[in-house]
Amino acid sequence: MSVSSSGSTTAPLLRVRDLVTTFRTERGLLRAVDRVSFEVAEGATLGIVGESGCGKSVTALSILRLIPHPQGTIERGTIEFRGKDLLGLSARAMQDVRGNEISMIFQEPMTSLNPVYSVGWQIVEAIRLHQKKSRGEARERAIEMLRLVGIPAPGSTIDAYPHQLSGGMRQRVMIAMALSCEPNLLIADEPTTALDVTIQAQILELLSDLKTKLGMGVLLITHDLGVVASVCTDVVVMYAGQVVERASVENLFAHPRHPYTRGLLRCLPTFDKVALSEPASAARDTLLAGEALASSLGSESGCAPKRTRPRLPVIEGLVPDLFALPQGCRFQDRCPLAVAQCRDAEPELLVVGEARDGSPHLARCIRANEV
Amino acid sequence: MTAEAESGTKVLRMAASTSEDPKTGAMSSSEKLKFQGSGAPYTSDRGAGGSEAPSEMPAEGGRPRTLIATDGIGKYFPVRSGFFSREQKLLRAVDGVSIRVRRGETVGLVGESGCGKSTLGRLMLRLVEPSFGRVVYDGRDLVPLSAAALRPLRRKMQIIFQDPYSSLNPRMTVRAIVGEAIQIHKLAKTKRDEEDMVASLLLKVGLRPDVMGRYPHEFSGGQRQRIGIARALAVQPEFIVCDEPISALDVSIQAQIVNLLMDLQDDLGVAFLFISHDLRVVRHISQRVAVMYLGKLVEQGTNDQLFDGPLHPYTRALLAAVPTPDPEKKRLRIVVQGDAPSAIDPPEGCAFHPRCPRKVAGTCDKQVPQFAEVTHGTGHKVACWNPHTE
Repeated sequence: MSVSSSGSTTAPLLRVRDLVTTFRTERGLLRAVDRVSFEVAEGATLGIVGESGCGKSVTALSILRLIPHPQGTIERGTIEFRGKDLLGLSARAMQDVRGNEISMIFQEPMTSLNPVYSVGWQIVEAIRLHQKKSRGEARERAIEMLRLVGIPAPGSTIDAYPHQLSGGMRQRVMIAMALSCEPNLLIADEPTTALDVTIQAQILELLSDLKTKLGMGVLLITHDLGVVASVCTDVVVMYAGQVVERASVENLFAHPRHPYTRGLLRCLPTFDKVALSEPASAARDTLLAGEALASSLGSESGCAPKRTRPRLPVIEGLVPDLFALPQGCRFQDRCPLAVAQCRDAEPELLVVGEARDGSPHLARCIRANEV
Repeated sequence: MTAEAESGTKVLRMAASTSEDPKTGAMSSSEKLKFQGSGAPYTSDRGAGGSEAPSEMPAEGGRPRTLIATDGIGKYFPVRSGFFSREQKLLRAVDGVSIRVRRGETVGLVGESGCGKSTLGRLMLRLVEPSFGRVVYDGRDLVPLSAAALRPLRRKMQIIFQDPYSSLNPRMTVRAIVGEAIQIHKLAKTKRDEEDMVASLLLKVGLRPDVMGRYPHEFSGGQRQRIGIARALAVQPEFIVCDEPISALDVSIQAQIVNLLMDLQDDLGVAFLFISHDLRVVRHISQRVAVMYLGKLVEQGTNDQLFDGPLHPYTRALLAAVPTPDPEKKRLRIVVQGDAPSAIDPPEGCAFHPRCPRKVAGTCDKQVPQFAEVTHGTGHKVACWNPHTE
């Protein structure tokens, strides 16, 4: 039982428990999602953050059971949505959930819309697929949705084709389509990544407004910690298929307890003048990284050039190969705090603190208290 | 020599694939004149001002400090309003821009999609033929040069593309993609050297060297972009147009790539035109920054001038829209509403006035503001009737 952000104890809208999704590939079995658990409360926005390949999108697709068959399989776990287990539903019943109770918007609004149909036709199709409405009623509803997402002159824009709309407008159309059946849960996979900052701000604001208006939960998948800070209530940080940290957004940004999260936060450039003119730690980190790289390459040049400008702190190295995961902690090779113990056993996701509302702060690190 | 010729054709092939319409390249001189007339406020001003005129570059140790500069450059694309329509309109992608990049410097170019920043980058490399204006590279005007005369210069100018899906040949292995430029420019003595170079380039951009035998489709978008970057870096050019090079990368890798670009600049003195909509990164990497809106520069200054004291309402709006990684400042500040207007029928007067919170009725919607310094001698230029000077 989780505690929602309002403080009252209620069953969460979505509860994912020990989800394991695997893919059969030429190189063997790949565990893309490895024992992932989280909850989304009604009216809350959970952000899933991580780098490409960390399993965040596969987690989202697993919830909708859109994992490509037969190579992908949900091996284990439960996905409880409003009390029912989605993994136990028939394909037909799942179809009714998709687009109706749970909607998804994707990153690329151009490739997710069909170029040969008008946007209105596509929204009407989505509505009529899930709701008993006449063509005329569905069209009315589509215009209403386009107005809701802030498209000017929705009465005429409804007959436009995707290529006639800007990226921001297309993403609004996608959101209108996703929300046309008033879902309880919206899964947004990098919804603003392809958009300009001014449009991104408008879309994020729109999502926040609609969330409040429609009372839906949002699962926001993103790599942009700025976006997370702006709109999320809770955050899950994923690394190499696992959840490495889970916390309220305030706790995560104020007191990150996993070295990976801390690294992600530090490598964001800021507008802050202080951060720019205080390069000591950053420069040292990069110097070390540079030396490590040079020595690992056996670099013939060998000369150390002058570094006059501050460098961004980086997380050294690469995401581990999921086929050749190290023994122990998956972050050990990139971790500045790694000790011998980190290589012995995989750390558990443990409670390391709690949020103002009492929800637990979890981290998968044996040195979480020192981070 | 053959190597050079090959590299030339490669770049030209690239040019053919990137320019929107091959027909637009050839415009009659009367058309050019017509364009020049309409772009007059910018071009004439620039000529008279002289400070940015590329022909009067100050020399330092016998070499001009300016590596590449445009002088009132413009590109108008003819567009048909309908499939059968005879009426031809002009999309003013770039409309009289003068911008200068010094040797070893990074100039950030920011603006929303469709503002013409990518076209400006391609104009500087002559991957898109200008409708009017000049591009001066290292003292030579590129615009009148023939393809053959341009070839030796091509290898000094590279581009890192925005779209990692269309910029890599799907039939070539990573080894071949990155190694091709090394071969063409004869940068490696032996096969073994070449392989080492490819390996080190791959490591630099955050890829395992053991991926060399794989094909682009086996990689995620972010990884493909890294391959593209490795390819551009392979020939050690003097000037690189970085067209949104990091927008497809993960945060931790973005920092690595930004550091890598800065390292390269320090090591090789390479200059960048860094086109991006990520203002945080632009602030970090650039010495000077230009803000573009609907085909024109609206503000230009040093990094500190632009980020600490932005003058143009649009620059302010862009800065305000960047989400802060601080949950305590949760509310996003939306300063401007709506999308940028079309570059086909740009608004009368200042192109930003329909979205501008500071517009002055009767002025901003009637007259085009001059792009000029607010305080003489600062080099901080703005095109606005009502700038934030307080």
